[in-house]
Amino acid sequence: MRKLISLLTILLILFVTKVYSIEPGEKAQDFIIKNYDGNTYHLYDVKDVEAIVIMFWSTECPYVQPYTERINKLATDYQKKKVVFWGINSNNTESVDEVIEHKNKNGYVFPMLKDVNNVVADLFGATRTPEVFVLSKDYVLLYHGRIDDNRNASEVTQHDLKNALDEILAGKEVTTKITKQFGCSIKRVEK
Amino acid sequence: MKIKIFTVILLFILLSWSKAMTQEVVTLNKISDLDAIRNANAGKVLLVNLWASWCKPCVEEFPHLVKLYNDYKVENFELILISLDFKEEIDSKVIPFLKKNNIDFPTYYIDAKNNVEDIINYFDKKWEGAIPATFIYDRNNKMVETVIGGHNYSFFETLIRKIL
Repeated sequence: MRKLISLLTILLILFVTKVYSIEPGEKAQDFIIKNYDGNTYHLYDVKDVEAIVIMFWSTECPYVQPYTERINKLATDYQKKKVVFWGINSNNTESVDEVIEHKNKNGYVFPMLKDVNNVVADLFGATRTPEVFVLSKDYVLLYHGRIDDNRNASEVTQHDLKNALDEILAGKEVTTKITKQFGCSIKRVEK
Repeated sequence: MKIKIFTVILLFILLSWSKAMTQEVVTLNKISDLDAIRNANAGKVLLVNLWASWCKPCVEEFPHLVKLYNDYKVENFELILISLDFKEEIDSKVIPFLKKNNIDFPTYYIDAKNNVEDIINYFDKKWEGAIPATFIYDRNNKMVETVIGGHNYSFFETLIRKIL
């Protein structure tokens, strides 16, 4: 019995600690969020677009805060080009009220979805904020990673998300499909 | 003679006090500098934790790791703490945090700004960069566990007891 409990503990640890994301070329799984704003966000209902940008976000992460202005500008520019932007807050430590307050304070120009029980974060294998997944109109992952290479806007040298979107809009293959960045881990519920 | 003994005792107390109050944050210029630290701890089980004072789960996890270290250091267990804080916040945030947690052994700092991919790939190519991140090495200096996200004492104790 003790051996069985030890084995189960180890399996639980492996499950909790190994969250790996979907790979470029892989189709994202569908999800539906009935959001606090009264809208229902259904991934596979997003049609007639060039790309879908899913951004895992936080109300308090210091790696997220400096991106407010940049991401609003990017979303404003690319929504005109039929690119959909959805922010997703999967942190179980951040309440709906905090998400609403943060969204209003920062004037996000895209919906901010509350991912209760981090269901969507699990589907994508998202682990940190900010973390971006760009999907094709067929929901296939084309780019996964950071927005750019520096939290200080004045020191950015690689505009990774923008570059990926430009390549997608030009009908080209995304050159850099994966980038990495440090960020705050998504605080998940224990399942 | 009494004065000499008193002086020696006083010096000893002062040195001990001074050591306890020293929070040495050693800068790693590149992540491969960690090789030398790992080699210097050959034969021990190492728990390498990447954290930052701005990261809430890191701050919550930190005391659990320190307690684990204090409880298991006699069993050749070593804790290596690497801060990924912003460089301008070392003096204002990192050192006060280390003092608050009574850290009396050297800890490390690396400027992540231009080293992101190198740091991530050094430990685990599948790690996306979320912190806290913990990597456990066995006595043969082989990495045997990757732990992403914040966890508590018993979680880590279960892991290291398998290896010790």
